[in-house]
Amino acid sequence: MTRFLVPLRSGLLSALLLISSLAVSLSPIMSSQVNAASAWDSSVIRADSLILQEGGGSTIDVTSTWVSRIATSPGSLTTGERDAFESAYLAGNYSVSLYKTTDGYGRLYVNYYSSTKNIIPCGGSPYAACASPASAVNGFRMEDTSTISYGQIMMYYNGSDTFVQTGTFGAMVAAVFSFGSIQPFEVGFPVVYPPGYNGTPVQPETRDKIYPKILYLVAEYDFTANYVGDTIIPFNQVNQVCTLDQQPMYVTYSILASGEIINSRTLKCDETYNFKLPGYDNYELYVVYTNATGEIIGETDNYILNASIMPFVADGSSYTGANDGSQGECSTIDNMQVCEQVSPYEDCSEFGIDLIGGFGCIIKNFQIWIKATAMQLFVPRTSYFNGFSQTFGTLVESKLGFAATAYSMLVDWINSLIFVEADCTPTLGGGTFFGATMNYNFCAFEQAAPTIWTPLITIARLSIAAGFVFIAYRRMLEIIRGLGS
Amino acid sequence: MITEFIMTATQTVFTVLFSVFPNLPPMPQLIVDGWDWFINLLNSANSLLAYFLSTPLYYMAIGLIVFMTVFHYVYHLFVRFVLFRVFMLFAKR
Repeated sequence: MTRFLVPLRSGLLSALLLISSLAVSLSPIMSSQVNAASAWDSSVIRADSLILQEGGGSTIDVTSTWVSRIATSPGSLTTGERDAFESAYLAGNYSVSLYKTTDGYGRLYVNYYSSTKNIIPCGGSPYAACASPASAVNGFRMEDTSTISYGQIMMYYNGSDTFVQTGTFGAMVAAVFSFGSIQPFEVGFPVVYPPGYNGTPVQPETRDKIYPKILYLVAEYDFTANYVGDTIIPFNQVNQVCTLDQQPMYVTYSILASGEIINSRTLKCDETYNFKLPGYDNYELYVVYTNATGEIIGETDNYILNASIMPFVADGSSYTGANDGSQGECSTIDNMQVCEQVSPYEDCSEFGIDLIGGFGCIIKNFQIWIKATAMQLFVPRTSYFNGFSQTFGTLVESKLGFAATAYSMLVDWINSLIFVEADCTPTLGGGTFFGATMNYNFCAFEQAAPTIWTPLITIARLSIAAGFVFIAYRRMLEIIRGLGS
Repeated sequence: MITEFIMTATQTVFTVLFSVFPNLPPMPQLIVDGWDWFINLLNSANSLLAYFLSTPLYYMAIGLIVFMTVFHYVYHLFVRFVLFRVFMLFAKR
């Protein structure tokens, strides 16, 4: 028994040592970062509303119980590939999420909720009582949605201390403003994007750097009916599928966990993006449809996703439904993106009297039919799989309770070790447990002196690799000796 | 179609089975939030480690840490449940 437990004990000790050494090495950097942040503008940064941005930039000033004021300060925010995600809790009721896109624009989301995670009613009307204390000094307007158990109350900023008039929209409003400028560009509602803004570009190399854990596909919705239906299935990406009668659109997908936006993207027709989720919890997916001018088309959709506790989803596996057809080709007509569905079958009539070619065409179509039929027989429909996932996930979660959560936590822990992306700007903190988020920048040396950094890090890595090989060699010897005895 | 039938049957079986059992209590929110924080910390630390070590070396380090544990579990299970059975098979003869 002792022999059985000793390796487990040594493995756990090694992991603890590794984590402890990292924590110790991070602690002095942590304190210096906080001090540096306080030096920006201590008059507007509160301890409970700390937002740190690399390179300086946005600050939050809590001016009333109800509304926060967002101001951008001059400065150069780094607009690298990595989107910055900032979150902080303001006065206990706010969570501000700031997204910086690669093209220099950003989006601001403000979550508002009470400590019990319920929407605080704003009097009889969703807007009236909320608007009253806010209208005097602040530039935000709240919106409420009472259709979800807890959720967002959106505020947006039009560059001045006046309200932006709104309609009765759904669950989500995004404020779009320019980073690095003290004057945001004019934002009305529906959101009008500045000339040249085509949503967040999703580059292939960016996609490759996203490591999926639990992911979703949104597809096959009937856009003309303003209704998406039950089309969300667990998958490895969000994909903007095009149809003939579909207006050119930008769809903003935002995924929330515990009321906090953890990822958000605006996609054009036929664009795809992989969402990265922490791995457990219930997720909400907000979908906002806009056309090229920013006008919101249809209603904002909101989905509650319970799939995260399902074992066959939490392992990161992907799924494609039997009804998932080809996406067709897209073209631009009158500055509008139109996509055409393409039939998978070849047109055999073009072969005319060429019997051999025609026969080959028929054989090829038959193969396609066989494949499609097999898919219909053995692969569940997308809508069915979605319904099954939600029903079964809810069933398992309600019955197994902490056991289901514990399983998801275990999967999440293993995934955190496996799916790793090298990053020199880690984010620590955040969430309801910790509060403010703090970002660190360890890239400074590499950026400042790459000619020194490259050989140094190469030598260091080679040395470590040699050490690893030696350790592995010794362990192999131990094993061989153990087998011999 | 066939798979849908199997999935529906499975779900029905689970629904019936679960209807017999009481609901287990949910995980305390404090633990969920704490674990969430820990995973975020772990992700950040791992990302930083992978940055300094490079990704292949990171996986090598993780492999070295967990290898002996995994090896001993697999080795003992193999010896007890496979080799022991084979030995007993020959011993009976």
